[in-house]
Amino acid sequence: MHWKEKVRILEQQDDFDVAIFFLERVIKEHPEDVDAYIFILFRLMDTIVEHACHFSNVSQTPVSDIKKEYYDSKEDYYESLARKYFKEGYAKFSENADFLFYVGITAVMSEWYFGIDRKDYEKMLDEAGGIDPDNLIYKYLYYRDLDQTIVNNKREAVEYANIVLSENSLIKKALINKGAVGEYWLGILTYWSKEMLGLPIK
Amino acid sequence: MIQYGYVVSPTLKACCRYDDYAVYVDDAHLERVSQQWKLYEYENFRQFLRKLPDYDRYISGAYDYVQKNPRTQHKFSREAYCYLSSEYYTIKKRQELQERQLQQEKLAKEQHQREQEALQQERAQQQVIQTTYQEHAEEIDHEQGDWHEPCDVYGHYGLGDGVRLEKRIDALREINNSGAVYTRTQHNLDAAVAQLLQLSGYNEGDYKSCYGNQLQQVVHGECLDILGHVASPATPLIIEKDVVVDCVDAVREYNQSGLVHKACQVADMCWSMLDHSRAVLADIASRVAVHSPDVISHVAAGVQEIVLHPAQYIDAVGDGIGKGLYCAVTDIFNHPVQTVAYAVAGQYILEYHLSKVFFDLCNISIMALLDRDRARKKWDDYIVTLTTVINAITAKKTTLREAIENGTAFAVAWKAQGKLLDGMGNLYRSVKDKALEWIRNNPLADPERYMMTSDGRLMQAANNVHFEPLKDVPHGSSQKVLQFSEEAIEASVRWAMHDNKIDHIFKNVGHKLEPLLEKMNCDKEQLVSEVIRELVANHILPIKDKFEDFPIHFAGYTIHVRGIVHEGIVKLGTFFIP
Repeated sequence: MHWKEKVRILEQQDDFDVAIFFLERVIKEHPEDVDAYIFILFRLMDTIVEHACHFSNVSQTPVSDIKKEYYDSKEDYYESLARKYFKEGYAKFSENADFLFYVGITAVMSEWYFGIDRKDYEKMLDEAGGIDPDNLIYKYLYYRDLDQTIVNNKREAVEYANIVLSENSLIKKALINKGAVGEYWLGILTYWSKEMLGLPIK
Repeated sequence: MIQYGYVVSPTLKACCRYDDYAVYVDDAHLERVSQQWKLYEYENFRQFLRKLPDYDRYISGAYDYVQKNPRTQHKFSREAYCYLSSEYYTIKKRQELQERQLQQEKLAKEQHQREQEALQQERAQQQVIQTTYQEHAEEIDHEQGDWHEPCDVYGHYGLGDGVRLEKRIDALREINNSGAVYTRTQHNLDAAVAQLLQLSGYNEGDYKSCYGNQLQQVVHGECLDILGHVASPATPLIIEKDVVVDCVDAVREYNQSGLVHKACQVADMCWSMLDHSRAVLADIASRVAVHSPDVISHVAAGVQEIVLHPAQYIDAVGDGIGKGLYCAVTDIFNHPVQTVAYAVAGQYILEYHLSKVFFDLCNISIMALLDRDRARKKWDDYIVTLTTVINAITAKKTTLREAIENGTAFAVAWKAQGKLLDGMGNLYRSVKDKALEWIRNNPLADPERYMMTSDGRLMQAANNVHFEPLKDVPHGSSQKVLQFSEEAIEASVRWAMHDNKIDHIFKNVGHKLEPLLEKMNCDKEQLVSEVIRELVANHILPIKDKFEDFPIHFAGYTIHVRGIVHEGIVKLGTFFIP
């Protein structure tokens, strides 16, 4: 079983700490695998910032309060890991578009846990677009920021929203390969696309 | 020529006589000839063997053979047997002696090596201490700002604490003017202090000597002074001794690792714990005599009343004071002015130092849980608050342990931090236990009555720490509560209204914000603005740190918010409706 599949199973079962433990091992065994860094950095950030929401609104576990308390207590430790892996990953992959993009969108949640500030992650996102300007996934930032009052812009954005929501969208396929961060980004793209097309969110 | 079946080679190297025959032995046959036991009968052979380098081995071999084969013994003459055994034991003794000498030399060498290593290690440690101190020199100067004002106040009222602060200021001045002088100084330990350390499970050796500069020596002296007070039966201590000793040991650890600014903060808290007990007594004394015309005579009359009826007032101040009460009462009687000063400042100073330690050193910030006006009538709110603090301390200890397990360059600092958290945890547990016990014994009494006792006063101080940590602190060097201006609030809203941040907060179905957004006509900026304003108005935010899951109530919804205060504004991380 591929390590990404194992991570997916662990995350589905709310075993975020085991997933982090396992991803650390993946990094040790495959130190040049950019996805391993993207996965662990998202897992750490999401666990720190969103665990309270997850155990309140998403998780089905009957012991969510205990789990929430447990992850509260791990925050400082995860923060130290997040800083460590960000520094390490950035040193290795600062010219890799995927690293810059996915870690950049992860940093948006609370960039201070990576020890950076807003202009740092904005630079990362800009650079990712610069390295791979045709990447459909990165292009969301472009369409989102278009002035929608201009007819042509609106048309371009609607086309993009349709691509996002289409059944066999290339975007969906590509994002599935990026695990939880892909799922997170697909959620945002879908929300925006539905808003753009005037569809109900749920 | 053939003797005993050995062919003597033409290249002869040695010979001896056997009966009338000459025995010629070459190197190749020495081993086998040496095992011809009959030859040992002959002095010539023995003399021949003695010249050989393996003589000891040959003799040992022959003797062993005789011992293992008793039948051969009678073939030896008495003289030859005596020769063999005497030589054997002489050789043994010599070998043992040599072995002993070798062993001693080895031990001496190892000891020397160990000493050298220890010396090197100590030098390296000393270097680390000096570097750590230098790296934090600015923080010590900053901390010094907090020493001057109390020093003046104490000086004005003639309170003892001023002296220790003056000593610190003098030592720091000396370091700044003439440079730091690092020495290892020996300190004498009072028998009562040694016993107190032993009972608390601490190593008295750690207190007998201290390596450090002038300021570190002063702080080490303070540790011993505090322990002296705690060990003395004359000290009225309403805080558990173990709590103070844990904290003093944290002071020592911080101090001896070079983190003197932290050591001073914890030491100040320990002093304030001692002062607090005195303050409580003074307050009780002042309540005893209600008819006195002015404050000083009010206290004095109260004290006189306690002196006359001590047993009656032991109940009033609660457990844990015992004999110390009498001494304290006499002291209060003799120093009424100082007593008033303590009564006014004691609790306030304890709250101030507890706050500093919690926020600066333990890095623990907890949202206000208690509506104090309501809490006067409700036990649960007090107990929940104490439990929350205990949980926060326990959580800190867990992450601290993990940090140590994952290796850290500041192992000593972590150790000190761990001891401090132990002390703070024990303080809160003890406050909670005492309160619960009192409730059990007085089921119909309300919190207000408990607050009249010494333990209740301690609980009040422990509670107050978290609500207004350093608000209204007269000396502003480490003011911790930000007053957010309108500009700061607006800047916080602008910061949050960034496209990427808005995506994260609002385009996340799990945050369940849609109903609230609908209620607000999808005005995200308005919602963000309201969230920040509620947050600033209803929570004590740290000056420069993260805040987590603060609940705010808005438009009929409870929203959980987390983020950071940085560069003077609130930076939202996320928020959601549970």
